[in-house]
Amino acid sequence: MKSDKNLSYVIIKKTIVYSLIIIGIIFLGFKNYKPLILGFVFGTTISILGFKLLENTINNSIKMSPDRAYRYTIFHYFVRYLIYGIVLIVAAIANYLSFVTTAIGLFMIKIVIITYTIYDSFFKRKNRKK
Amino acid sequence: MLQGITSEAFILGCSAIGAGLAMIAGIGPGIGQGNAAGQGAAAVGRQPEAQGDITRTMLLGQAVAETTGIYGLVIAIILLFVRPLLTAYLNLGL
Repeated sequence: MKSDKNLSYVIIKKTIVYSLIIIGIIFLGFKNYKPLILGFVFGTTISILGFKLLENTINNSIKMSPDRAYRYTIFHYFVRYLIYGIVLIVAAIANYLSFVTTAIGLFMIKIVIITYTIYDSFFKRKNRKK
Repeated sequence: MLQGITSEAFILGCSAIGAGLAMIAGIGPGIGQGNAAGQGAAAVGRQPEAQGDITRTMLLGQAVAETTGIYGLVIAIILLFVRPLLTAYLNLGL
């Protein structure tokens, strides 16, 4: 695993690469691709910004007392939750955004983290065998 | 009691109740993240040299935990704004 700053940078970079691949697939595979791509870009952008917000929250909470860190993290979680809620409501109301691709875009960070961790553990195991 | 209520209004009301129940899923990850952050802060206080490792593990764990809350949010917004149950009822043509 990479160092602290590098890790979030690597995950964001991978998210952008994965997103570009998915945008290419949508572009080639669907006739009415514009709302799908716009929704996906919208969701992925908010997901990346939410991840940066989470990183800031963790970096701040680590310097606090446990009780204060608990309250601070819960408050900031609900702020992010509100942002995700607004994003999904906008995607559901607006005709020019696809709701499904916006939701998939919001889950991109999780998809990247899981694939990255699986790949990392597989790669490490392979190196250990050698 | 239910005499003055149309079927559409009843379905919309039930959808709103379902959305409210789905939003309960958003509370769990918040409490979990708070607990993790509190324990992380305590761990850094005990062992300051491990701050990088603790932060990294917490970042990945909390990012994954957060998405379970979004699942509930997605279901709630689908029930409220996309209204699949009402569409299904109208398609039945009863």
